[in-house]
Amino acid sequence: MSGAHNGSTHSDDRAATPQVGVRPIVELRGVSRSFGDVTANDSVDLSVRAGTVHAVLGQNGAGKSTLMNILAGVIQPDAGQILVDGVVTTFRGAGDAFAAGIGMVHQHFQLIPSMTVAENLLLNDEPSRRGLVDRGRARDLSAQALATMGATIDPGSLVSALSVAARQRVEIARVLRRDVRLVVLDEPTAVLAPNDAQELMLLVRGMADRGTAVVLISHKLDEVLQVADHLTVLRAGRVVADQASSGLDARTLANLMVGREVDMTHNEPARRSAGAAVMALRGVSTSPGPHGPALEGVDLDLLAGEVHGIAGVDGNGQRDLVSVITGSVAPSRGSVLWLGRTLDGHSVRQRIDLGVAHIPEDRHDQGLFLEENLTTNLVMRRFQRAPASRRGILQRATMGKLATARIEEYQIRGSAEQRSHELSGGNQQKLVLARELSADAQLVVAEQPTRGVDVASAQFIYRQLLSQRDDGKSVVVVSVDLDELLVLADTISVMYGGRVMGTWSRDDFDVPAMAGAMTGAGTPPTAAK
Amino acid sequence: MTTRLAGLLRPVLAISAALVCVGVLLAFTGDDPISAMATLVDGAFGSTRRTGETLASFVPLALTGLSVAVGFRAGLFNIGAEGQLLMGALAAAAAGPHLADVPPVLSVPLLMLLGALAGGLWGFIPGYLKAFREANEVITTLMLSYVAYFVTEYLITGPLKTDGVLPATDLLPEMLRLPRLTQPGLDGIPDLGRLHGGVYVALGALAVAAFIAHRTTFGLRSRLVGRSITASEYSGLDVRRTVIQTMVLSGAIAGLAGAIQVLGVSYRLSSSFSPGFGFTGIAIALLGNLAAGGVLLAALLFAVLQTGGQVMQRISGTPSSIVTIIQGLVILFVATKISGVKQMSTVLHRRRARAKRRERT
Repeated sequence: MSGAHNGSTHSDDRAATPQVGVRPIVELRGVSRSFGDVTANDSVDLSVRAGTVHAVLGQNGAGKSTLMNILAGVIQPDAGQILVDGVVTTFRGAGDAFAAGIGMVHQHFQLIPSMTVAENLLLNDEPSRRGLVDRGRARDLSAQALATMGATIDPGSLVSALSVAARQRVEIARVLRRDVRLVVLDEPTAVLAPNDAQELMLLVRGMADRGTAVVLISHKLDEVLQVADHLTVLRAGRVVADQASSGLDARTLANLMVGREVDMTHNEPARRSAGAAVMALRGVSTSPGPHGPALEGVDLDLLAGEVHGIAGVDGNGQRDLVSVITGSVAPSRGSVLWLGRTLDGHSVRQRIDLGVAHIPEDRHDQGLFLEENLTTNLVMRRFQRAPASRRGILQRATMGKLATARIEEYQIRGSAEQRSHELSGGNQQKLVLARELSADAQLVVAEQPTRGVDVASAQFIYRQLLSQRDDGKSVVVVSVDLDELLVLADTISVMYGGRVMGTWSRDDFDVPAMAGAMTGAGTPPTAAK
Repeated sequence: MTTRLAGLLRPVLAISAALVCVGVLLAFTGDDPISAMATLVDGAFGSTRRTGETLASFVPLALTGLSVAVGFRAGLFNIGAEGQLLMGALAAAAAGPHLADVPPVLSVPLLMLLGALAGGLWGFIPGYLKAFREANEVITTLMLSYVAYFVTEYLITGPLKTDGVLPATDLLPEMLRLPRLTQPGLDGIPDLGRLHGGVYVALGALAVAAFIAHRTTFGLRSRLVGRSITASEYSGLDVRRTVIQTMVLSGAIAGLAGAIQVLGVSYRLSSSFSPGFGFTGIAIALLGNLAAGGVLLAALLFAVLQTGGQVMQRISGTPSSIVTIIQGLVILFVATKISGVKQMSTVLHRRRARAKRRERT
C-alpha cells in the first residue's frame, strides 16, 4: 500500500500552486470497517488538502461509500484514526463531521420538490424575526448562496420546476452555504448532459481554486482525469493507488480499479445488417403527465438486430417513450406498430406476451419484489401463463426448476428460496437481467442499464445487450450518458422536450450535433424549459 | 428457520404479555389472577357442552379473521368486515322465509351463497372506489359498516320486523337451520351445546383460502399487488382488477360468516346480532399473521376467551370485560412488534450456534 500519510507533511506534485494547502484538512489513517464477514475498508489512508480536487475511484463494492460515510461521520470505523487539521478527532455522527466543515452532496438529491429554492436552501436554518420566517432576508441569503455557484436560479421558483442540472446546483449550494471546507460529491455527473457535466467540472475546479477541498466520486474516468489533482483508487476495501493524476490515462485507471486488463471496446461494427422493424412508432404523442414532458409526434423504427440508443438529458420524454413501448401508457395520438401491424389497445401484459422485455431504471422499486424470493422474482412477469401456471394453478415445481437454471446461468449468488433483498446490488441487477434477457423476447428495452454500475459490471451488461442484438432482437437503450451510447449503439436518437430531435446511424455519428440536440438546439423556443 | 420461529414467537409473546398485564390488573382489584384464569379455561373447556359453545363462537371469528387477512395480504385494509357480515346476515335472514318450500339441501347452501354475495357486494363498492377513484379503503369500508348497520337496523324495526315487540326478523323455520352436531337430551351422545354444521364450512373456507394463497395465480397476484404497486404494474398485473377481486373475496367471506351465524345460531337478524365479530376479525387476522393457519389458532384463542370469560363472570364474579382488555392488549403488543422479539430470536440463534459448536468439540 502506498503511504499517503507519509507524504502528508511535505508537498506533492501540485503543491507549488499557491492555493494548495500544505497540511491536509482531513486525514484518515489506517481506517478499517467491516460489516459482518465483509471487510468494506481495510486500513485505508486518505488525506485531503484544501484547494484540491481529490477523486476516489473504485468498482461497486470497493468500499467507496463506506469510506465516504466514515468521512461524513455517518458510520464509525472499527479501527484507525480521523485527523482534522492534524488533530485526532472522533465523529459520533454526521453532525460532528458537519461541524468540522465536512459536507456531502448525495447522488440522490435531498431536495423537497414542492418547496421553493430558497426554502430548500435554508431548510432547518431559516432566518427568523420574532418567531416568524424573515422572507426578505431568506431571499437575499439564498440569492447569495446561488451567486457563488455561478448559477442564475430564481430563489422563489419551485424546485420541481427546475432542470436536473439546476437542482444539482441548489443541492451543492445548500451544502456549501454552511462554511464547508471539504465537500464530497457522489457521482455528480451521472445525471447530467455532456454540456452540463462540463460546466459542473468547471465549477468544481472553481470551488477548489477558491480553497475548498473537493472529494469527487465518479465512474467517468475521462472526467476524473480532466479535473482531479489527486486520486485514490480502492479495490476490495484496500487502497491500490494514491497519487497525483497527471500522467495517467483512462485505461490504466480502469485496470487499476478492476485489477486486470479491461477490454474497453464494446461494439463490433462488423455485424449483421439490421433487419425489419420489430416495433415502430408513428406520430406518437402522449397526454402530459407527472413524468416530464409528454411525447410530441415521435416517429421511431426499432429494427431487429440493432441497438437503438435513446440519448437525452433526464426528463425529456424518455419515461413516456418507454411507457408507450412497454404498454403502460397509451398514445393520445399516433400509432404503435408491431412487426408492421398496428396494435390495438395497450397493456403491459399484452407487450410481455408479444415479446417485449424491459430492464427498468429503478431496479429496486420497479424491477423486483424485494420481499419475495428469487423464484417469484424470476417469474413475476410471466407467472400467469404456461409453463409457470396452468388454468390459474401455479406449477411450483416448474417454477423452481426455471429459477434454479437462471440462477446458475447468470451466476447469481443466492438460492431460489432466498428473498431478493438479501442479495447484493450487483446480484439484484443480475436477477433482473436473468429474467428479462432469457425471456423469448423480440424487443429488449433497457433504461439506464449501467447507472451507478462499476466498469466490470458495465462491461458484462454491454456484452449481454450486444449478444441479444446478435441474436436478432431489437435492443433499445435509454441512457443519459452519451459516451455510453457512442460505444454501444448502432443508431442514436436524441430526445429533447418530448420530441426526437434527430437520429444518427453509427457511420455518421456527429457528437457536437448530438450534444447540441440534447440541449434543444434547433427547436422552437416553446419547447424550451 | 429463525424467521419462522420469530413469526411464532411474536404472537406467543404478545399473548403472554397481555396475560401478565391483566394478571396485575386483577391483583390490584383484589381478584386472584390464577384462579380467574383457571375458571376462564374451565369455562371454555370444562365440559363437552362448553367446548361445543367455544367451537360455535369460533366459527364467525375464524371467518371474519380470514376475511380481514385476505384483504390485508393484498395491502387492502378492509376494516369493514362488520358491515359485510351484517349484509350477509341480512341476505340470509331476509331471503330465508321465501325458501321455505325448497328442500334444505338446496336452500341452506343457497342462503349461504346469498350471504356471501351480499358481503361480496359490500366489499365490491370500496374495491371499485379504491381501484378507479383512489378512495382510501380504510375510510370507505369503515363508513360502509355504519351504512350496513343502520340499513339493517331500519329493516328489522320496519319492513322486515317480526310480529311482537322484538326488533328482529322472523325466526327461520326449522328446516332452514344448520343442523346441530348433537341433539341435546339424547343418552350416550355428548352434549355439544350450540355447535352446528357451519364449523365444517369455516374449516373448509380456511383450507380453500390457504390453497388460493399459495397455489393459484390469483393468490400470488393478490400478494404481489400488496407488496408493491409499481412492481406489479411493471409485471403487467392488472392492479385494479386484483384490488376489486380481492375486496369482493374478502367481503364474501365476511358475508358468509353473517349468513352462517344466522342459519346456525341466532336464526334471525336482531339488533344484538353481532357483538363486533368483524372488528374482532381484524385482531384475529393480525394475531394470526395473515395466514390461514394462524387465523385458525387466533380465532380459537379468542373463542376461548369469549366463552370462558362469560362463564368466569357467572361463577367467580370476575367481570368478563377483562377478556376485552386481554384482546385489546394482545393487539397492542402484536401491532407494536414488541421490540424484544428480534433480539430474543437472535439470542436464541446465537445460543443454538454456540451449542452446536460445543457439540462438535
